[in-house]
Formats: sequence, C-alpha cells, structure tokens
Amino acid sequence: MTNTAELPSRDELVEKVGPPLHQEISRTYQVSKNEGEAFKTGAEMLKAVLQERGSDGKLYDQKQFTKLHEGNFQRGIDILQPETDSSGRYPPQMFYIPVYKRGFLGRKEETDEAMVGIKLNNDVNNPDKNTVLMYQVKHKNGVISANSAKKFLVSTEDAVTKGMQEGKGRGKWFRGELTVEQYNNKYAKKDSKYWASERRIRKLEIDPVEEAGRREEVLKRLEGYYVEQLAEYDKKTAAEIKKSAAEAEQAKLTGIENQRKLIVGLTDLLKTGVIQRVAAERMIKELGLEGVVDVDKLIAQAETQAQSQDGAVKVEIDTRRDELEAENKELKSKLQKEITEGRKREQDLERQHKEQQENYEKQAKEWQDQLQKTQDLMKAIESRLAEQEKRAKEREAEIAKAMKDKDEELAAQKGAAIKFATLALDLKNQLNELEKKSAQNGGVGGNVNPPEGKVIEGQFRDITEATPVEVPPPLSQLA
Amino acid sequence: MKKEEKKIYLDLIQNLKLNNPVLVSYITNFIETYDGTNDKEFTMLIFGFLNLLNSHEEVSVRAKGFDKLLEIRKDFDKKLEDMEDEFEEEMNPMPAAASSDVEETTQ
Repeated sequence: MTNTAELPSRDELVEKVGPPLHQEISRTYQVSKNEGEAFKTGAEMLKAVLQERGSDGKLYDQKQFTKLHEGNFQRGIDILQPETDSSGRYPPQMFYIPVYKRGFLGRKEETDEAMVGIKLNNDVNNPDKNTVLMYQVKHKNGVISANSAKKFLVSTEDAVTKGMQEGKGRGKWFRGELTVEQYNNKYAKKDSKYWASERRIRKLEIDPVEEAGRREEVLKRLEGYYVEQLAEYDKKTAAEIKKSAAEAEQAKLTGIENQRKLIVGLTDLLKTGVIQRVAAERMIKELGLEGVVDVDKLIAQAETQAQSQDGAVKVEIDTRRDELEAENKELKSKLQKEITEGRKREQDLERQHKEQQENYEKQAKEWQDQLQKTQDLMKAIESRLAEQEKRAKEREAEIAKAMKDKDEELAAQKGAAIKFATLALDLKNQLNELEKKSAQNGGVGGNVNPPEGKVIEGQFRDITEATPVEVPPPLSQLA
Repeated sequence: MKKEEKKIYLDLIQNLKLNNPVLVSYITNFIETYDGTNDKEFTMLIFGFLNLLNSHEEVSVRAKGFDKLLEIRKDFDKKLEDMEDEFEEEMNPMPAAASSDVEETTQ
C-alpha cells in the first residue's frame, strides 16, 4: 500500500525532474477520456498557474498579464522574453488578447471575452516545444477566474506565434477573432442593430442559389486573376532561367579561357625553371585538365620558347635601336623647327615692342600738350577770379561807405527830432509857468490868456503825447 | 622567393577574368608578402586557389539565378495567399472570419 504522505509534492517533483515536457502535457491532453475531462484538466492548470504566479486574475494589470493586440501580432508572443526567477527557473508568463466586436457603424469594441495564453516556459530554447495553454475566457471588468474558461487548447509557442502572424484558420482563434457563427450568436443579435439588420437581410433576402451564383462569380473572377498571375510567374521564371543560363554559359566560357591562361602561366613557370615536370603534372591534375593537356608538349613548348628567347632578344634590341634613331631624327627635326619659329616669334615681339614704344611716346606727348593747355586755362581762370574779387571788394567798400553815410544822416535826423521835442517840452513848461503866474496875479492886467489859448494847449499836447518817432536801425545792421 | 617569380603569378592573376576583387586582393597580398622557401607547394597553393576561384564564378552565377527563382516563387505564393484572403472577404463580408478549425475543448 502506497503511503500518500511519502509522495513528493509538485514543487519537489519539478525541482527533481524539471518542468513537464510539452510532449508529456500534450499526451495527457490527448488521452483524456472525453472533452469534459480535458477541459477540466485545462481549468485546473489555469488555476494552478494563477496560484503559482500569485495572480488574482486582473487582465488589465500589466504586471500579471501582457496585452497583445493587432499592433504587435507580427511580433507574436516573442515580446514575452523569458526571465529567470530567484531559483534560476523560468516561471510561466501570462498574456491576453481582447475579443473585439463591431459596434454601431462598424466601430471596434472590446467584448467581455478574451483569449488568455499561458506560456509555460518548459523549453525556452525550443519554441516548438515550449507549451502555451490558450483559453477563451469571460471576464468582468477585466477580472477572470479559472472557472470562467470557456474553451481550452494545448499548443506551442511556435504555433501560437505563427497563428497570430498569419491570422488564418486556427490563427484566427489565437488572434481572438470570432467566427461569423460565434459573432452572430453572441453579439450581433443583441448588441448591434446595424449588424442585426445586415444579418436579417442576409438571412431573409439572399437565397442559397443566389449565394452559390455569387460564389461562382467570385471564383470565376479569381480564376482569371490566377491565370494572369500564373502566366506572369511562368514568364518571369522562363526569363530568369534564360538569363541565368546565358550568364552561366558566359561564366563557363570565361572559366575555360581562364584555364587556358593558367596553362600559359604554367608554361611560363616551366620555362623559367620555377617548377619541374612532376609539379606541372600535379597542377594539370588539380585544374581538371588531365588528358586534355599533354605535359610533354607543354615542356617542349616551354623549352622552344626559352631557346628562341636569345634570338628574339637580339631582334628586339635591333628593332629598338632603329626605333630610337628614328625618334632621335624626328626630335632633331622638331627642335630645328621650334628654333626657327622661336626666332620668328622673337622678331615679331621686337617689332611689336618698338611699335608699342612709339605709341607710348606719342600718347605721352598728347598728354603733355593736354596738360599744358589745362594749366593755361587754370591760370586764366585764376586771374579772372582775382579781378572779380578785387571788384567785389571795391563794391563792398562803396556799399559800406554809403551805409555809413546813411546811418549818420539818420542819426542827425534823430538828434534833430529829439532836440525839437525837448524844445517843445520846454516851451510847454514855460507856458504853464506863465499861466500859473497869470492866475496868481488875479487877472490884473493879466488877461494874458490868449484868445485861442486852448488851441495852443491842444497843440502842445499833441506834440508831447505823440508817438515817438521810430528810428530805423542803421543800414549796417540791416546789411 | 624571387621577385620575378612572384611577378609571374601576379601577372597571371591580373589576366584572369575573376569577378571577386576581395578574394583576388587577398591572394595578391599573400603572394606579395610571401617570404617562404617552399616554392613548389606555394605554386600548388596559388594554382589550386585560382582554379577554385575560377570554378566559383560559374557556381556563383547559378546560385544567384536560383535565388532569383525562389524570390519569384515567393512573390507568386504571396499573390495566391492574397487571392485566398480576397475570396474569404468576398464570401464573408461580416467583421469576423467565416470558419474556425480550432481544436478547442468546450465546457
């Protein structure tokens, strides 16, 4: 009888034999008695992982679950890089993918369902053996529980990543995409009037025959496209094969030519004695020309070339000497020609120089004459200016004198006016004195009032109270 | 090794129509800097290497052509996949996909 107390715990087993292999998990899943049992196993595994990770099932908590969506499907679950814990093991990693539905006017909305994945990291170096458990779960405000799992699948990291990237077949499920049937049953009916209407139209107005006809039409159109693409593919392939064949043929010809050159090089080496018969034979064998190239002939050819080399050198020297003499003769002729031309050029230059000198002298004389004329003109102008200045000074003196005379005349007039006014004032005072005295005498014999005394008084007053004569300023000031 | 001897090899390489300047520069540098005495083995090495390069030219051209054919095939496959998608879209214009072959276990 087995004592259960002696059985090792799960952690102890993991510690002892390592995490279960994908093959083992997959096998357990496959040999489950029925779907219900398999699902139960899956739910238990989800529960165990949540417990082990200390997760309370909050999908929106980034520390617990990594969110994958359309934007990062191309990277798949590769973005979950495995990390070791304190004990050096790779703990499971969890992620989720929201399931979307189309809302009003086709707007994308998250549903209360999600695809939850658990990457067990039981073989981090082999994605095709690293188990990923995929669940379709229902959540409430982003919180799931092990009991909320609806569907369950044992897969691998490789398969899930590929499925996400391709989005076909099983991949659609991995990406959290619903089938039409699933969508209609769960969301279209109750959540979207727009799509419900669409569905009704589809259900009521499109009959199977028409649908089949449409299918045939689409297939026919696609068949045309397929034929076009196939023809293009054939054309491109044929062109490339032709091109490659031509290039390969050319390369082959070049290779043959190069082999010939190598044989020529080999002959040179034989000729110069760098290599001997045995080495030449080996090289011919290396070049794959065994049976094509005869070593004896090659050696004979090299020897012939070597023997004829002395005679060839003599002929070459003679030829070279003749060439040098011809070159020398040609150079002399060229030199003589250049000397003649040089002399001619020299004479031309002298003549040009002389003409230029004459031109310079002539020009200098013209400039001298012009300068003299200019100087004379300047002297005349200076003389005229001096005369004008002299006249101006004289005129100025005349004007100053006239101004002085005028000032004096005005001063004299002013003095006369003052004198006259003073005299008038004195006369008035005297008359006043006389009137006073006459009044004191009581009129005895004193009818001294002139019969037209008022007139006289008025005349004096007019003079004394008259506006003073405004004396104009001297002309010198005005000037 | 004599300079004249090296010159024979260098002239020979220069005359060959080889389209691999990097490898050619390696071998010419090797010849120029070689100061050993085993002339026979050296000659064997040079000729062997040149023969290899010569054979490589043809193989390289064929490989390039094969790669190009693979590329054309890949492009064609992509167009076929697009065609499949188009068919699926045409037949199932609803927002979700039409079918699922998921081997899931349902509660």
